[in-house]
Amino acid sequence: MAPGTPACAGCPGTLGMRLALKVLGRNTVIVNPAGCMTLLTVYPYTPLKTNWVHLAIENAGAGAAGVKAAAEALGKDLNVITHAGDGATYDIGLQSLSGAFERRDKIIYFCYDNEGYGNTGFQKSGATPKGSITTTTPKGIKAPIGHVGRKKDIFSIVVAHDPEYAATASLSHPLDWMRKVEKAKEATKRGPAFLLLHAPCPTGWGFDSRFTIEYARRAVESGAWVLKEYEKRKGTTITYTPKKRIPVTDYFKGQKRFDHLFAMDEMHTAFPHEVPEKQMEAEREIHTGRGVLTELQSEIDEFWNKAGNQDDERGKSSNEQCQQ
Amino acid sequence: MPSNTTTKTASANNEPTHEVIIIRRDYDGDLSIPVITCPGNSVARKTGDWRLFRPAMSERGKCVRCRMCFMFCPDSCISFDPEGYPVIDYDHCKGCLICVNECKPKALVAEREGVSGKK
Amino acid sequence: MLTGNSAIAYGAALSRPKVIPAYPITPQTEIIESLSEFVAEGLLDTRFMLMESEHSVLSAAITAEQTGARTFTATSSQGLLLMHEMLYIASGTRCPIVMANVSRGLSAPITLGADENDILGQRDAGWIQLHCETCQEALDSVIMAYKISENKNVLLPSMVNIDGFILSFTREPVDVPSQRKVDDFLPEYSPETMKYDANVPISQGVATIDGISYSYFRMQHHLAAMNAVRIVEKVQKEFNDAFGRNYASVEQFMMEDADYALMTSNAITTVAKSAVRRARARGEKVGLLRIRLFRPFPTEDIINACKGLKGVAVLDRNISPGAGGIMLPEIRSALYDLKEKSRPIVCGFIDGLGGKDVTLDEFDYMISRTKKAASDGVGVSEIISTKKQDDRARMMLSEARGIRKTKEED
Repeated sequence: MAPGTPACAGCPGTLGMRLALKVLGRNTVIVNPAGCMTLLTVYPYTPLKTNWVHLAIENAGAGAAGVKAAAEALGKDLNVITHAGDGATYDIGLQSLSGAFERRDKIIYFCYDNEGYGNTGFQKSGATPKGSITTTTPKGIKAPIGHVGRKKDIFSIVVAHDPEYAATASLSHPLDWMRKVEKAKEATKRGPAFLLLHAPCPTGWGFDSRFTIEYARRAVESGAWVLKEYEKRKGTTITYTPKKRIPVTDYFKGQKRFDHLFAMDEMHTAFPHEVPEKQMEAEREIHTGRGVLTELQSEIDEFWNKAGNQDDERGKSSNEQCQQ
Repeated sequence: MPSNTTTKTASANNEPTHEVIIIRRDYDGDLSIPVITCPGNSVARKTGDWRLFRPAMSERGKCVRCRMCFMFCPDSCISFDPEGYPVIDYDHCKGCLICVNECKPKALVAEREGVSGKK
Repeated sequence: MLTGNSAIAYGAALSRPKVIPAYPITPQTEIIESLSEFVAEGLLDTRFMLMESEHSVLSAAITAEQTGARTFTATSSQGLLLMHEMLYIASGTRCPIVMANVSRGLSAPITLGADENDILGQRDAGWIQLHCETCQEALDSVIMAYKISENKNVLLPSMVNIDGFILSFTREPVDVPSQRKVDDFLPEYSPETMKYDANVPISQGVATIDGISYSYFRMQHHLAAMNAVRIVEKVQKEFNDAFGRNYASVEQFMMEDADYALMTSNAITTVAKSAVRRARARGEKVGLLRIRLFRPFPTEDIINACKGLKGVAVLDRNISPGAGGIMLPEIRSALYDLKEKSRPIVCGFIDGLGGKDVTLDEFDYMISRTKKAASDGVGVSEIISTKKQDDRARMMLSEARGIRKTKEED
């Protein structure tokens, strides 16, 4: 990839693809659904030195399947990889992803997960974790913590399709990421592969661009983002276990989207007459910023304690780690 | 042109300020397909002017040539000189400063744009 | 003897597509069933992809064409509508896909019978549209469509339309051409630019954020569509030379000395032709014009066929609620600039929605009403039916609401 893209400074989606292309080489076709990465190529410029196509937001899986089918029909050897954001993967493109994996199309589905719809200004997506502020889940008296839903466990959904290979990765471990891309490339000789890259987004999450890799590292070291892989017939294994987990608050703090969790119940203290007493009590219990952080930490602890007891993750619901 | 017709404000004499043309084009054939066939031509965009701060080598001696700056640059703006020390493409570097943050020996530091005569 | 669906399947198979993405929907399913049988028997060498929705079908078709492989698919009504977004993308990226549409009335209320709303509703998507009257024409049109679409001065996708149930499941005699003859007529698809090659990397479907480059591409798209009018004619002529069957963008039937013309498209034309024959037998100077090419619009052909006529009766087997039929304004607009003495009075009649029959009596009415309108000097637009059909509608309404003719106490 060449420089000169209009992507944000410090963009992890760009870095992820740059490193992946070093593994995949030039006989590649990148299928891109609408998202931040669509704007890598704006007429008449492209940074790619390989093939690229933009379709629409919800059909990365189908589009990639079409390229692969045509390549096979024409006898061409092409690596097909998608460059899809979490919005296009977890939400609107889920059907297309599922269809491609069910048909076992030999593609690499690469999703860079920045936990929101970045390109449109950072709205809530299926990948947005509990407690995150986005422009469509702002905080307010009725919504003290911001987003109240949980992060969808896309990895388990994909693993349920029994793909050839699936893995999560983070840019704090770039060689691990490239190794996983290599394994995915090898796996597409036989079936579909899925790569989920954690993408801390300076613009969306609200931190200085220099800390992109730092936040990726903290997500991994706190155990909130689990580095794992699934291989067909072998099940899921965790590929990196932090020696001593840092508290999840270390990962969350400094990101504008989580700042409100750290403030005490200012809202309630300031406007007590706006909210009924009973509701305040209930909220104080569960839905305060403090409550969200504590809940999350205990989930993470529980997951890792269980994981420590058994290496093999087959069949276990991996819901917790995706709560982040 | 005689001086009494040179004042061309739209309000003054309602003359158009842009020349309007009717598009009568020939079909451009293959050129009309919306594709880019020139790989990597984004180098024409000098994103270097986005910067507020630039990464710069403070002391060469500190650099251990681990190449992690190269690994982490999202915009492929770091290459290496024959001795293995990083060379930064300031025409395109956006100043995200990931390289500065990740440089363990703190060889790379952030410098404000415009300081020490650099542009 | 082949059904319309089988005819299309044969036409597709003979065209040697390399990729066929498919999804079932009534009344098109038999097309993909036939194709999958051909593949299973080893008669057709293609990558047959069973997708999980029509939207994905067209998405895969687009990227397959962009990789450089000839692609075919088929759909109907709701499926076509689900593809709506991708129709624009297919034509905007200039993919020469050929898709068969088996017309079916649109939900809601959901129906299975044929009308033209599904395909006419896509008239702005930038595709070429060919509407077929017979099963033979359907088979032939698929083959011709590839030659038209893949022409270097066109490079636009095509739809070949047949009526659901009326044509899709009706058997008619069809002459299936030999593979060799089709190969001679239709060479292999070999794109210049639009293909993936490691040595010549390209970026396709690129964002054009500024209005200037967008306008340029859209304008070129329009020029390509305008080119297609004469390319369609050229290919139809070549097809006639090779296979001995002549098709015209606007078919003229008994128009030699006609004063009035019925204007129809698709399979109902066969019934309309009977009505014209009957009218001729009565001594009326009536002919018929069948719109085979709808997009790009064959303005010249329409003007040449209609100028000098006293009246034209347009059958719209579709409706744009709040405005009327879709075909009527297109015809009136094409004829608007004719000098008054050669401009006919154009009347529109909406009938046959959702597969409702259009009877000979209704065609007779259309002719006579248009004659009256012509002598009055003013065109009309009417929604028509037969009394029998209308009575039946009222009866069903009563049944549904539990209203009895003889009022009973609750």
